[in-house]
Amino acid sequence: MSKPKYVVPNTLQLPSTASTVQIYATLRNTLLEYTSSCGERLGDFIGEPERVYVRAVPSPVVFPYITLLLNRTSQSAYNGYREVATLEVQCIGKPESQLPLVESAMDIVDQCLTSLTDARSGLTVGRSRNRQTLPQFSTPADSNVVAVVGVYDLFLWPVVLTSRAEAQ
Amino acid sequence: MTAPLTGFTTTFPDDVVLDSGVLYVGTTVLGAFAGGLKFDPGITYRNIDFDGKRSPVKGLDRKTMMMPKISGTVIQLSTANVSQVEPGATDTAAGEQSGAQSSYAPVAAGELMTSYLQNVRAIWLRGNGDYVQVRFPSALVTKYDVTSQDGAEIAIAIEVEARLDTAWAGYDNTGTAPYRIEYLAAVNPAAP
Repeated sequence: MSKPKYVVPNTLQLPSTASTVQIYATLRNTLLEYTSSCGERLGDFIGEPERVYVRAVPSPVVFPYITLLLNRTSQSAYNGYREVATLEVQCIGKPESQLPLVESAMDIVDQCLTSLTDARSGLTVGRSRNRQTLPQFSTPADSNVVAVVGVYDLFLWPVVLTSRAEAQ
Repeated sequence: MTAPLTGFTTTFPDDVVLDSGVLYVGTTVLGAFAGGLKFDPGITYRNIDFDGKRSPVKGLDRKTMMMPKISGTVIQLSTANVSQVEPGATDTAAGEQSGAQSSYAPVAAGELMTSYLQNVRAIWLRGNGDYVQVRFPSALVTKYDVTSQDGAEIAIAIEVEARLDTAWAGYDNTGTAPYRIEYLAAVNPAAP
């Protein structure tokens, strides 16, 4: 088990939970590599190259896109080695006609993250979620924007924390 | 800086067992469960007593009883489930006056049971994608009750006890444990 390392460009080794950046990138790859039982992939709905970003979307914005936001909490009951996390996935489309694309993309995300068991680096497990389709916005917001937000409950034994136990 | 003491090891991600598991009877899944499955080997040890004994003594333990049991709460009741929880029950609808499509008559009290479940397996997922299972080559549902709930699925609490079947190779001694704990690379319903 390697110690967590700082990430520099072009050195991101995946899959890995050795750093927060790698956790994000591993989750992103997991989403993009997932193939549903119908043979569908996330890229089929959000286009190529896959527009899955962390926290914010770069300009110029191309719709639809997905953003990831991870909130992690470690628990004293496991000496800080185990985390419970919520991964907020926002899928945004524009114009309104993209709503079916957005919903379908989130169906893929649902399937992927509620059956997630990844022990390739540490352990990441996802089984449950809360999903909401946002109501139509009104002025001053853009009423043409459609959005579905899913909050996925995960638990992790990330290497970034468990590597401290190596000597034991 | 000293890291906290922990039971975490480098093999933990592979060995951790996840989720509530599934219960197979032979080659079919018994049904959907609410919550997890519980396995209790029901082992009783006796540490032989002697005059002057002050504490349990190493080498004097003997396993005197095993009552292995898998329990859980299933949320469905198919006709197949009826014959599983009421072993030997037969459909006697033709002879009944109720007009029911199926009418299962439980085995009469006082008779020796002849219908047992074969290869009951509680299977759980491991972190590495493999599986671990507890297998009863022969078993019997010894207890169940049905509870309906407002606005929720029915809850059928069942207890499946292992029975030593000396007809199975390797289970021919009365002291043999009537269960096994096994590791699998894949769940193969056809080859329990």
